[in-house]
Amino acid sequence: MPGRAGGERQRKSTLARAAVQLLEPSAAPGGRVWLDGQDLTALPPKELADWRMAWFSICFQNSHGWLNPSLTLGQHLEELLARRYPRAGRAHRAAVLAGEVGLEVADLGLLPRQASGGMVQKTLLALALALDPAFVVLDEPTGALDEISRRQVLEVIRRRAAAGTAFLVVTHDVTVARQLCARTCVLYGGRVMELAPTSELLADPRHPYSRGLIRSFPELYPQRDLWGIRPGPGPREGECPFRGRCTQCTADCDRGVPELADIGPGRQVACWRGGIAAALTARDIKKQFDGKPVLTEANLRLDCGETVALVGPSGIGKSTLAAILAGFLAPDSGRVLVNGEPADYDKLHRTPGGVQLLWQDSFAALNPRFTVERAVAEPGVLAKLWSTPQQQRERVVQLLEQVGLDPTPELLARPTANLSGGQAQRVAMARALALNPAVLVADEPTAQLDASGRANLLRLLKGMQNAAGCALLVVTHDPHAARKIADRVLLLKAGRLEAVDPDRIEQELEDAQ
Amino acid sequence: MPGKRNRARWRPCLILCAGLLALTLFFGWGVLGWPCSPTQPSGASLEAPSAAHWLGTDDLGIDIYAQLSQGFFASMSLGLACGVLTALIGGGLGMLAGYKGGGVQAAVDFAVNVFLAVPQLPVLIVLGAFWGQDRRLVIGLIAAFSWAPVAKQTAAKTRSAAHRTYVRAARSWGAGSWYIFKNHLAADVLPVVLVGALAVVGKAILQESALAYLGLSDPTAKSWGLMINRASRFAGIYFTDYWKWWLAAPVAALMLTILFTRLLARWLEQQLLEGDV
Repeated sequence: MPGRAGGERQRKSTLARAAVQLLEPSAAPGGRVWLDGQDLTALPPKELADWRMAWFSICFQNSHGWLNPSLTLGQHLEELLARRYPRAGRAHRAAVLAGEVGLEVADLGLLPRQASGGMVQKTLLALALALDPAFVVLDEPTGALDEISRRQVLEVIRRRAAAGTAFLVVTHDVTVARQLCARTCVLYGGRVMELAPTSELLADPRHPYSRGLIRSFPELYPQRDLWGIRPGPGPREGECPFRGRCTQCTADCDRGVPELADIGPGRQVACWRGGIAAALTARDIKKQFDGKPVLTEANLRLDCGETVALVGPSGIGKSTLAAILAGFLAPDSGRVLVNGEPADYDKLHRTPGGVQLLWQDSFAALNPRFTVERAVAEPGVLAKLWSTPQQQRERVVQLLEQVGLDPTPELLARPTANLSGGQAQRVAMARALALNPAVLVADEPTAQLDASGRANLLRLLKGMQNAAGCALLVVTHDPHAARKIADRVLLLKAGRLEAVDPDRIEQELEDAQ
Repeated sequence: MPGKRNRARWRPCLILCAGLLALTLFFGWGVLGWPCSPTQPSGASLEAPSAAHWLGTDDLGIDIYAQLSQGFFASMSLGLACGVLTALIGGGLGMLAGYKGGGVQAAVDFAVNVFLAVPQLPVLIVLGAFWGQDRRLVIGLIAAFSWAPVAKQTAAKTRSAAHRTYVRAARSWGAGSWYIFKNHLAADVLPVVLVGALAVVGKAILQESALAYLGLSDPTAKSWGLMINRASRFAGIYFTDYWKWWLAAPVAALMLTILFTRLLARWLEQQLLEGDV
């Protein structure tokens, strides 16, 4: 029972209709569809019409348009049942079907325009199941249903599936896929991005699009703040459809449309980088100060475009680890890889797409005599990004807007010493973004702020990460903040890192102390 | 009211600068406009102050105001030269030591400590006795014994400034030493050098006077120390009225000049260095 998930307009329904040969000729469908070894595209239309609904069927997305307005719901069912059942048994059979999908017998007497959306949807489902086909395509089967009907419908589908019917469920609702489908196929821009067993897909998505989609469901991430995939240009012909919104594109991605490739048992992904790539990997990092080990064996993987919180009690070595990962402190042993290569921090700090650190104390990190413009422009000036003052000004204005500051001439010319704590942190953030880092390490970014400033800054940081698409490692001792913004939470404990369930951060922190 | 506070803040500086300016103008007139020569007798010996000789004459009949005026510019130029030299040596070595750290810092620290430990005046006297007849040598000697504290302070300031987070950040983006010095350190470090050098100006004038008083400076230069020396050696000067113009005038000029420069240095120190983190 494969399901397929995808955002809106990713051509899920089109594919579903193509599967049952229902596309208009103007759509000029190409390719072939086999069912039980039989090539459906090769069948003459007459035979196809005979087999449709009997051998394979489709339940359309809820719409009155699929029903004849002058026939009652029951008459629709009986019309279809007439293909197999004698007249005498039809009414009874229709009633049984109605009961199965949760329709009252009385509802069968209603005309489509008198029926509710839920009733129409259930009728469409009953129609699809009426002749016990071997293969059923369900297009958003629960779209118009309330919670009770939804559970009922899902139960019907599950029972039928157990009895041997194959279902192809088209849905944008990952929770439906989770409840119904053994395997899930993710579509984007009319192409399959990822195919995997549903539970594995939900726990460990390997395509950036699948990950973004799954993490946008509050049902799956109740604690976390809601963030969708960053908007961007839509699919273009001849290249990876997700390219414009992807956070891990490289020059490799120019090669064209990626093919679906195996990445493990039962798992396939279409991505030039072989699925989600690690932006930063740290292996066996060891560090001691004055003979006292701080980090004994820290391992970490930070994927492109994700936000990871690093929590731990004060003084456990979080900032040490952050400094090592950001390239401001050399570990005693261990390796750090950035984009798959041993980290050359001199280069990474100085070029776009590298690693930047957002310092703990933003006032100390800003020269008090510099103006805001000069401070924000400094990395770019040193990297010689701009050839004219206009370019520099434009970029600084853009960066300041990105961090939620109003770039008035007065602000641009203000010495950083005259900023408020929140403003200083934002200016520091704008400066860290000036080189478009692929990895941003933020060391206690909210330590200096009051509650409101903290909330604003955390939202901003996450929003900025989402828009810029960089990988973000936030060091914090605040479990609530970690839970709100992080995709994953890591706990530093006895010199090692371990993954923590976001709900259990507090307990883990207490245990660690 | 920021304007009012600013004015109050600048008042001491204005008074001191006005004082120095008045001294300069007063002695400037003595050099450029005064008819009497500072080296040739222009009246009877030991004349009391009068319209012709504002501050009287000395035992050789040479006008004291004219001598004093020339001495002011000699002392001032000597003091300023020592200040500049100190700033260059002390400031340069201090910045180098504070910025580079390691071996360079150890070497500079050692030299600083050696120069701080050596008793200054006796060594100055010995060295002055050997070679002290040349003005440039006197300047060099005084500067050699003045740069150490400046270097020490500059090194400390440079070290603390160079370890600031924003300097580390700039270095991570590929900033070179010159960029960092110019953009991130100069504003913190140069005031330290300036204050140190200005303090040396007053001290150098005093030290030169001391050397001259001891007869170890250039005997042909009209220095205040030399004037004091000659006046105080005049037998029985305190039993006469002569000390009132011959001795008191150079002493007062010396005191006023040093007072103004030292107070100015102190004011600058307060403004530039204190209230700094």
